[in-house]
Amino acid sequence: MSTTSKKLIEKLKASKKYRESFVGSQVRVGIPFQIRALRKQLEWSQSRLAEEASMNQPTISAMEGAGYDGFTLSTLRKLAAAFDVGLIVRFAPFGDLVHWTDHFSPDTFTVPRAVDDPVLNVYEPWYASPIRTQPLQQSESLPTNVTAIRPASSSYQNSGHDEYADRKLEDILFQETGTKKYTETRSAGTAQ
Amino acid sequence: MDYVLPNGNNPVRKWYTKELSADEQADIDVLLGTLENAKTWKQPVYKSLSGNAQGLGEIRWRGSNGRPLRLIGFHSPVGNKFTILIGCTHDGKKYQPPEAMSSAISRKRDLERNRGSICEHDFEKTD
Repeated sequence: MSTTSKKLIEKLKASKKYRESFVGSQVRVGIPFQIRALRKQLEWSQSRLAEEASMNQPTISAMEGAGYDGFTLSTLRKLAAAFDVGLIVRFAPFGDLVHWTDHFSPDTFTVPRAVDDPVLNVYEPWYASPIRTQPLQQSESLPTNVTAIRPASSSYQNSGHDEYADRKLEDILFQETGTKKYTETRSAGTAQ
Repeated sequence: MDYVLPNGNNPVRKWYTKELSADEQADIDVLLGTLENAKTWKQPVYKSLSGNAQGLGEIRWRGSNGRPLRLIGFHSPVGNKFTILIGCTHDGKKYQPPEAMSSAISRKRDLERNRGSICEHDFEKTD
């Protein structure tokens, strides 16, 4: 356990008032770091995020400042929709908050958008959606240990997808589901 | 790290315990915990200062009722630890207390001359 965790735990144990404040700090301080990190991940300007979230740029700027006290669930849902990521709101033990505080790094925090979410891409190859923001790199090659497969859906086959996207999905299927589901998918589709 | 006066008093801890609300104390704890995990400190949370304050930087956030709070300090060349020299508010482009910046500059100079000392920033201790 880190020194930061130990110190936080001592304070949380000592005062209920502090525990209440600490929950608020996860929002007031933690959320601004996340918003900025996600915006940078997408290489969006504040204006672009404002446009996507139907807000204005000064509001986004304020929201990225630590201590912003105006977050509502509605605001967070708008931002989640703009980023096309999920939002978890749930009650939790304080230990979870300490762990999050101790391990969260704004440098490495990323959340895959729905279109890049490997779980959403396992069963239904909808990745050719026009909302994709990160173009696939044509220079990437498929690992040699992955056998190519093609889903059988006729709508998918006629959706104008590119050959590289097929191979990328195969890569994800192989890495995320392992041999068993890979085999199931292959039996449901048309193996090449 | 916190700056400690030659008489042994910790002005940073005093400011933290006496001047900040419980919400603001929790905010700074989360803020410092997060910055500890960040490789680089960037705006809007951190700003390097210039002019007379060259070599110093300030951690910036909004406390209760939106009041702008600052922790002024510097990164030590060894270990890249951030030493907090003073805590203050910064409203209408003016520091409160007004001598906050000059105190920070003076304290850094004191440390460079081996006057005063530093200690681990500690959340739970009180003076």
